[in-house]
Amino acid sequence: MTRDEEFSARWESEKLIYKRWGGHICRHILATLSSTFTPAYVNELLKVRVEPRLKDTRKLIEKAFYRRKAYADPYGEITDKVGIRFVVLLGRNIRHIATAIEETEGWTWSKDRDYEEEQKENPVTFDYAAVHYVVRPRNDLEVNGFRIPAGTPCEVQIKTLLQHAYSELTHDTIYKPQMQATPAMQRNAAKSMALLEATNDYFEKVFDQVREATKAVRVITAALSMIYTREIGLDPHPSVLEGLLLEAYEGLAEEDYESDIATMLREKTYLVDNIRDRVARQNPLFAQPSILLAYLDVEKRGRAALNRWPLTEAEMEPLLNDFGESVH
Amino acid sequence: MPLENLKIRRICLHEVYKRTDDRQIAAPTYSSGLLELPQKARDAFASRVHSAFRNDAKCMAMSIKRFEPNDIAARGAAIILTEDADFVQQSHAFAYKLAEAQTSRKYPGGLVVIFDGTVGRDPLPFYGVMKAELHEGFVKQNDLQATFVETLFLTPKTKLYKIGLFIATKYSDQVLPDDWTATVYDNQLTSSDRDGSAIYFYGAYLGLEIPSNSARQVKSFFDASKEFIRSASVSQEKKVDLYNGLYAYLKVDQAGTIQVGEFAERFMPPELQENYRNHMRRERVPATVISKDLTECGASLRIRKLRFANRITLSGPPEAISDFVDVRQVEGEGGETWTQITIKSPLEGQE
Repeated sequence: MTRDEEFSARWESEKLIYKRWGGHICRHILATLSSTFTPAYVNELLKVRVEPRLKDTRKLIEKAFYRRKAYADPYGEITDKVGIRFVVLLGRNIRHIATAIEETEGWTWSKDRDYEEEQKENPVTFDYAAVHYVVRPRNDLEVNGFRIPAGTPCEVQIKTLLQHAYSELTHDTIYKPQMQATPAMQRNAAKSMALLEATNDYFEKVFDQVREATKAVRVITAALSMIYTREIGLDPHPSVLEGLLLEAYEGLAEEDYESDIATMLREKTYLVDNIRDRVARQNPLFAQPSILLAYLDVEKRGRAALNRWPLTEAEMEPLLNDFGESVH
Repeated sequence: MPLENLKIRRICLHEVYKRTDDRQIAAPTYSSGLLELPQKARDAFASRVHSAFRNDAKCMAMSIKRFEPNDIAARGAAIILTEDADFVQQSHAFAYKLAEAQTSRKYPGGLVVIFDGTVGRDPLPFYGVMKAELHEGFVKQNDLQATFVETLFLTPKTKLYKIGLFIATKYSDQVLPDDWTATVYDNQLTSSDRDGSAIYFYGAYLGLEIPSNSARQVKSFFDASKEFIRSASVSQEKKVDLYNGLYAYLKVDQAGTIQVGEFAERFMPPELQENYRNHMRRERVPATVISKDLTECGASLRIRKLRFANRITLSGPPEAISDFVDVRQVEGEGGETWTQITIKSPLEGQE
């Protein structure tokens, strides 16, 4: 067997182990994030599907022997045979995942790239900025009945969508050069990186401003969600409809609205049954926390409540019918 | 009379026809089973019933006049206790009785819908008897062609249906007529020709009559409305308009019925309507349609009076005050409030 064939045979026989190790890391990080935050938040946080990716055999051999890397032990020294990407929107979200990695018992990790460190060293250079970890099990590990040997490496990249775009652009040219990048290419890459860094700063500012502007309604949604869960016995599923409803009903959420809603639902228990029925029939409107404010408005004002309702009359008919009213 | 927590249990449909040319009954077509509808259609049916009895709808509380075993009131009280198969069977009689009650060819055919269920925060049994007339319309097809049909019914805007709704006042062992209330929805109830187009349904067919307390209810409507206008926080000029409206609504208007919501919408600015409805509710004036029986307020409707300081009174027939007198509030000497009255007539005499 040639050197390349030997390398390839070993990889083929071991790559399932790497895949399982990568899969284990994915599941563990997602579970840690979900318990630290909420599953819904994690869903929002990660912009690209998280899954372990094995390196293509041909590319692996290229990297081991043909790129002037001078490895003493190419198989052992190449640490990205399996890799995982966590892609987030904002630079500040990167630390959520980094923390989850660093605090996991039974793993060892090293930082392969740390853009904050790199930027401290070269403050005037604009280069690819992401956090890369190499994560290994400290001891032999059993995953779903399969053994992962201690020290099996997996590369975990954590980056923003902007950085992800940049790395897609420069993937095969600058970092894995089969050809020399020209100064002009490098200059343009550095310019776009600088622009991305500035864009991230603006993104974070906009994000904060939006958060500040929607603070009041978020507080209302949170309060209504608590009542909804307690009185209806289901978890609400606020969607874009929640924003639409709250835009109309925000003004009603003052003083005693929480106890008014609770009183209404306890006096008219059939409302609870009807809301549950409609959620079971997949009507998303009735899974919005602020639907309770709409009910309160109809209870107080009957048909006159139509003038505040932000959706169609037909969509209000079920709420009106619950009180014996009708748009017709 | 909004139907809170309405749960419709069973629905059965039959068809009746207008009388034959020699004024004989054309035999109804009877359905052999309950009407099975998907949830969305059931919701739409319930929505039609709600729209008939919601606040301000053209529905009227009635007295149950006939309740012998063959009358609707007794048949209805019995049908709610039946199993499904018997429900269908017994509902045939409801259709035949409508065909009987439609004594003339001027009454169109239509569908008779018998339905039952429960209603109310503490649910009580009810049954409903609906006559839904068929009407014309177009049905869109997928290729953007259209089919013309003459068998539509219960489309929301047409209101081509009448309903008699009987609700028990206790859960079981009801005795007729005291343990039942009856309410009729019929768009034609309020027309001046009410007796022609509505009475065959609520009277001859359902065995109901206009409640004997209508005169008292009209009087309390009149008194409570006057009280509301007197204490409303609007200008005196506006009050003149409101009083004029009230007298016109009761006296001049040709309709056979009155209703709180209708008066509010026709004569009041939007900002007063809600307060007015609440005031009338507190004064126990029903929000349903009231038959316009003026016998108890006759005298006070005849003359309208405007009173000023020093025993000065302007009085006259309400129509004349409304048409020929213009009242305006003006600022007099020393900032006092004066009233400027314009009477569109020469002074014809004085003593």
